[in-house]
Amino acid sequence: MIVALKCSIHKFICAKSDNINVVHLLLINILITIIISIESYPVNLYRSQFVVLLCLIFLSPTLVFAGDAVNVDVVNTLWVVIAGAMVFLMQAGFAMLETGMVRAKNAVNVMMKNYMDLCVGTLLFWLIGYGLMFGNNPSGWVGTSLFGLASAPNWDYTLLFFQIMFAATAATIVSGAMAERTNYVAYLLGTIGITAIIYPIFGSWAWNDQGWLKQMGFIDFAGSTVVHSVGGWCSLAAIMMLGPRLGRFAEKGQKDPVRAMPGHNLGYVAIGGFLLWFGWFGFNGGSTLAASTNVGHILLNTHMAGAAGAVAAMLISFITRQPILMTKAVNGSIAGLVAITAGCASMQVPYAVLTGAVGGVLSVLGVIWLEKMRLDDVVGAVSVHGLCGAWGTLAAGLFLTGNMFNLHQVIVQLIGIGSAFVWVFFSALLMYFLISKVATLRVSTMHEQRGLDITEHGEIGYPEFGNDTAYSSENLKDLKNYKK
Amino acid sequence: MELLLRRRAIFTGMRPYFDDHELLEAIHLWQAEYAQKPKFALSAFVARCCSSPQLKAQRASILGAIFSAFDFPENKLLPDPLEVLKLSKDSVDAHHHVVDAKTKVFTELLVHILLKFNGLDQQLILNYLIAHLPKIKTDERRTMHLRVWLSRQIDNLHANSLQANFSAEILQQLINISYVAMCEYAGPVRADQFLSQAMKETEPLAASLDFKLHDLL
Repeated sequence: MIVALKCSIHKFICAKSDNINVVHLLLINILITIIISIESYPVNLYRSQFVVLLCLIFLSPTLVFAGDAVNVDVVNTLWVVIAGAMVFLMQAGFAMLETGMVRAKNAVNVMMKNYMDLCVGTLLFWLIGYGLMFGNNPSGWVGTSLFGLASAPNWDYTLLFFQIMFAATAATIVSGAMAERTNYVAYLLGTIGITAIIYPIFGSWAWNDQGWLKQMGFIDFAGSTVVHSVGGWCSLAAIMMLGPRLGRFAEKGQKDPVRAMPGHNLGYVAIGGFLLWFGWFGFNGGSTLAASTNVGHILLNTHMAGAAGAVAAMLISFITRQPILMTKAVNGSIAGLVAITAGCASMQVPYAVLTGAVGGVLSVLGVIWLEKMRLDDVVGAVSVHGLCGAWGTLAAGLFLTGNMFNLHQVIVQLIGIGSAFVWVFFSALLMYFLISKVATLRVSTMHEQRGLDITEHGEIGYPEFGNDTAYSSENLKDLKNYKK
Repeated sequence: MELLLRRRAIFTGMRPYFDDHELLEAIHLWQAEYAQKPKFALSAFVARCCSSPQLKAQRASILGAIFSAFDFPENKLLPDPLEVLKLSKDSVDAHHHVVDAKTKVFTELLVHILLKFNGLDQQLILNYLIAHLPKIKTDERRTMHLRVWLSRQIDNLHANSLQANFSAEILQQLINISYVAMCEYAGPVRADQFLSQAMKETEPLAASLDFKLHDLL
C-alpha cells in the first residue's frame, strides 16, 4: 500500500513538474518523510488508513493548484485585494497614531474622524472620485466615465477596491493636522471635497494613462505625491484656515513661544506606527497591480527606507540637541516610508536608504519650521506627508535605476511636485474657506475647553480614568447644552 | 506704576471736571480699554470722555491734570475711585444684596483658578477678563458690577463679593474666558490642570450650597 502510494506521488511530481512550485515541493517532501517514518514502525491495523489520510491532507492544496493551470489574473487579483486589505489597516494605524498624539479629552473625536472619513470617502470616491481619476480622459486633465461603478469586468472591481483605500488614506492624513479644534461636520465636508474632487483630479493627471503628467513620464509609483503630498498640502491649507489650538503659541516676545502639548498615549503612537508600517507593504507592494517577482525588491526598499527614516530622525534630534522623542522616531519612520513610496520600484536599495533617511531628517526640520511659522500641525502631517512626499517624488527621478540624475526626468518630477502643490493647496484653501462660511470650521473656545469628545459626540474616551480632569462621565449628564 | 496708583492718578486728574456718574463711567472705560496701553493713549481716552462742548473745550487742561497727577506722590493722590464712587452710589443696594449660590460658587472657583498663578499673571488674567466683558451679553448694570468686582480682585483676591447675580450661562462664559486667558498665559496643558484642581477645591462649597459645580463648565 505504502509503496504504491510513494510511486503514485513520484509519478504525480513527474507529470506536473511544470506547475509545481516551492510550496508544493515542501509539502511533498514532508509527506514522504512522514510516510518513511511510519513504515519503520511495527505494522498495526490503522497504519494504511493513516497514510492515506496524510496524503489527503498534504496533497489537497497541491492537487488544487495542480488541477487548474495557474491563472495569472486570479493570482494578481488575489495579491491586489490582499494588498488593499493591508492598506485598509493603515486607517487603524492613522487612528492610533493621531489619537495618541492628542489630549485625552479629544481621543474619541480623532478616532471618529478616522473611522468616518474612511466611510464617507469610500462612498464619494466610488460615486465621483474613481470616475474623475481613472475614467476616460481624452483631455489629460480629468476622467469622464466610470462614475458610481455598478457593473464592470472583475479587474475593475479589484482596482476600485484598491484605489478606494488610497483615496481614504489621502483624506485621513488631514484629520491629524486639524485635530482638537475642528468642527466634526466641517471636517467630513472637507473629506468629501478631498476624495471626490481634489485627490482624484490630481490623480487623473499622474496615474490615468491619458493624464498629462503621466504622458510626460512623471514617476510616482505608489503615491508619494499623489496620495501623501495631496494629504499634506490639504493639511497645510486646513491649519492655515483654522489657526492654532488655544494657547499653542505664546505671545511674541515671551520666553517659550512654542508650548508643548504632549499626546495622552504614546503606546498608541507606537502601535499606530507599527500598523502603518505593515500597511505600507500593501500600499507599495500592491501598487504593482500584479503578483510579480519585483514585489520583494519593492517591499525591501520600503522597509529599508522606513528604518532609515527613524534612525535619521533620531540622529538629527541628537545632533540638534533635542530630546529623542518617540513621536519623532515614529514620524521619522513614516517620513521614510512616504519618501520611498514614489521610487520604491525603481531605485536600488542604497538609494532607498538615502531617500528614507533624508525623509526622516525633513520630518524633524519641517516640524520646527512650521512651529516658527506659528502653524499648529498636531501630528506633523505637513512635514511628514507633504514635504517628504515631495522629496520622495524628486528622489524617484534622481535615483532612477539605469537613468540616474537625468535632468529631463528631474524636471518632470519637479513639474509634478509643483503642480500638485498649486492645485491641491489652493483648491483646499478655497474649500476650507467656503466650509468656514457655510458651516463652522473651528469650534468655539467653550468646545475646546470641554474637549471635542463631549461637545461633538457626547461621550468621554476614558470614563474610568479621569482623575485629573475637569470633566468626567459622571458629570456628563449634568452638562447642560454640551453642544452649545 | 501699579494699576491701583494709575487709577488713583486718573481719578485725581479728572475729579475737578466730571461728576460722580461720569467719573465712574470714565474710570471703567479706562480700565477696560486703556489701562494696558502706553501713556500717550490717554489723549484718545480723554477725547472719548469729553462728550459735551464745555468738556471738549477743556480737553487739554484735563489731559494736563492727569499727566501732572501721575507725578504726584502717593499721599497726594485721591483714594481708589472704585471704592469712593461705588460706596457713594451703591452702598445702600450693596448692603441688602444677597448673592445666590451659583454666583457664590463662581466667585470661589475663579479665585481658586487665580490662586494658581503669581501676582503678575493674576493681573494679566483679570485684565483679560475685563477686556472681554463686552462679549458677555448681559445688561449694563451687571456688566459694571462685574467690571468693578474684577478690578478689585486685581488688588485683593478676597475683596468684596459680587454685587449682582448672574445666570449660569453668563457664568459659564466667564469661566470660559478665564480658561482662554489661562491657555494664553500658562499654556493649554496647565490650563486644563488648573481648572481641574480649582474644581476640586470648589467642590465642597458647591456641595454645601447644593449647587452642581459642572453647571458652570
